[in-house]
Amino acid sequence: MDNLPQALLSVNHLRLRRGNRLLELDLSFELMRGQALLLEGPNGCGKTTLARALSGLLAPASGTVHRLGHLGYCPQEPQFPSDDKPLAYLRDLLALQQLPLEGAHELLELFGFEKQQLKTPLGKLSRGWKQRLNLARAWLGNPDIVLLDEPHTALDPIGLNCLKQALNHENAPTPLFLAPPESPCVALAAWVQQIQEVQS
Amino acid sequence: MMLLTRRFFWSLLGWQGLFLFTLLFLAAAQLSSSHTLGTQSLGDYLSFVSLAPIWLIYRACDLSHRKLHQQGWADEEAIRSPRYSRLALSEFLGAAVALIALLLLAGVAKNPAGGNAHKTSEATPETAYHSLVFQPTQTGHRVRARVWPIGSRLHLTLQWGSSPNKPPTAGTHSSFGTLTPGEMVVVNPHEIQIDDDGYWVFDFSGTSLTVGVDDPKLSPTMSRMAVPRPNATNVLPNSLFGMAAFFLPLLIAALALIRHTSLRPLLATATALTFGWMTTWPPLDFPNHASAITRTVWQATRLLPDLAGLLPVGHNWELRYGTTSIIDSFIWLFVFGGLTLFALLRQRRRPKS
Repeated sequence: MDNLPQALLSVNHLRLRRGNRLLELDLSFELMRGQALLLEGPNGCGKTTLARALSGLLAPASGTVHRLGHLGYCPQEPQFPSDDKPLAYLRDLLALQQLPLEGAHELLELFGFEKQQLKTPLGKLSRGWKQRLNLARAWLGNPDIVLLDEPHTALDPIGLNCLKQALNHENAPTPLFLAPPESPCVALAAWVQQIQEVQS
Repeated sequence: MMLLTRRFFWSLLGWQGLFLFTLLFLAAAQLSSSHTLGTQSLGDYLSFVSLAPIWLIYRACDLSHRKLHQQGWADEEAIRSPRYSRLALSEFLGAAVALIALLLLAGVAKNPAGGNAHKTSEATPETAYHSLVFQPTQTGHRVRARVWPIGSRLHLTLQWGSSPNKPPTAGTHSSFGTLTPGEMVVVNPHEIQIDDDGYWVFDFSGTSLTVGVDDPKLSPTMSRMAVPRPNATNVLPNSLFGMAAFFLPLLIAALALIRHTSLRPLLATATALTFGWMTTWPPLDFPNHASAITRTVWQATRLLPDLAGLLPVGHNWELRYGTTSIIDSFIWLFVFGGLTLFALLRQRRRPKS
C-alpha cells in the first residue's frame, strides 16, 4: 500500500461560491505526479474561481481539496508592482518564502527574459512579457504542482515554446491547466476533463 | 526577511526622501534657533520634526495598501507565507527603521544650533507661562494639573473682596502658609496633594476667590507658572526618543488597520493619529451644558495613558517635557504596542468562496 503513488491534488465534489452565487461544479479528480491535466470549460464556467479554491486562496462552500506538496499559481490576470524590475520582484517573493535568492535569474532565463526586459520596470512590460513573468512566478521555489489559469493568454509562439520547455525541464512541476476549449493548452496536457456547472 | 525589510525601507524613503528631510530639518533648525525668523524654541523644531513620522505613517500605509490591494501581494503572501507574518513584519521593521533613521537625522541636523540653546538656557534659566486657565466652579477655582512640569513653581496672588470667615477648608491650604489678601505665594505644585481625578481644587468655603497675577502685563484671569528650562544637552535626544516611542505604536496600529480592514491609507493614518492625539489631551471640566457624547469621549480619554510628555512640541513645549511617567510610557509601548503588533501579525482572513 505504501508504494502506491499518492495524488498531489485530490478534489471531491467541490462546490464554490462566487459572490452570492453558488457554483456547483460537482468536480472530482486526482492529479498524480507527472500527469499533465487540463480542466476545460467555457468562459464564465468558474475556472478562475476553481483555480483560487485549488490554490487555497478561497475556501470551498462544500467538498474537499487535498493538496500534497508545494503549489505554484499562475493567475489569469497577473498583478505586479509597477516600479519594480523583474529580478528584484522575484527575489522579493523568494525572500517571502525564505528560499535562496539565486534561482530567480535562472527562471527568468528559462522564460526567455533578456537584458532589455530585465531593465524594464514591470509597469512598462508588454502583456506578453508580463505573462512570461507570471509563469516564472509560478515556477518559483521548485513547486510540485503548477496551477496554470489560461497560461497561453498573450503569449506569442516563442513564449508558448518557453512554457513547453519549462514543462519538459528536468524536475519540472506537474501542471494543472485551466483553459477554454480548443486552447493551445490541449497540446501540452496528457489528460482533459470538462468542467460543467450542475444545475441544482 | 532582511531583503524585504531593506526593500520596504528604501521604497518608503529612498535617497530623495532622505535628502528632502535633511533639508527640512536643517531649515527647521535654523528657524527655531533664530531670533528674527522663529521663536528660538526647541519645541518649534520638534514640531517640524514631528511632520516626518506623520508623513512616514501615511507613506507606509499607502505602500502596504498598494501591495495588498493593487499588486496581488495578498495572494502571493497567502501562497508563500502561510503564517502571514513575514510581509507584515518586514513592513513594520522597514518603517520602524525609517522612523528611527529620520529622528536620528533630526538630531544631527539640530546639533549645530545646540550651542545657541545652551546659551539661552544659561541666560534665562526658566520660562514663565501664564497659560494656566482657572475655571470658575461653584466652590472656587480649578486649575488644570494632570501632570506638573518638572521643577515648576506656581506664582499666585490671592485676592478677595472680604476676608473669609475661616481659613480655606481644602486639604491643600497648608501649602500656602498664611494667607494674606494680595500676597503673592509661590507654590511647588508637586508638594500639593492632587485629588484622584487630577484636579487641584481651590475651595475656600464658598468664599468668592479670584486668582490675580503678580505680573501686571499678564491677563488678570491667569496666573503664572515658572518652568525651569530643561538641560540643553539631554533634552533633544530625550525628546526625539520620546517622539519615537509615541509614534512607533501608532505606526503599527495604522499598518494593522490597513491589513485587517478596508480602510484607505489616509483614513487609517488619520484614525491612528487621532487616537494618539487623544492621549495628549489635558483633563478639563466641562460645563453642564456640554453634550453627553463630548463628556463620554473626554472621559474615555482619561482611561488612556497621558503621553503629552512624549510629544513636547510647540512654543510651550517645556510644560509637557518629561511629564509622562515611566508606567504610562511602558503601557503605551509594550501593552498598546504589543497588542497592535499581535494584531498586525495575525493571520488575515481567507475569503469564503
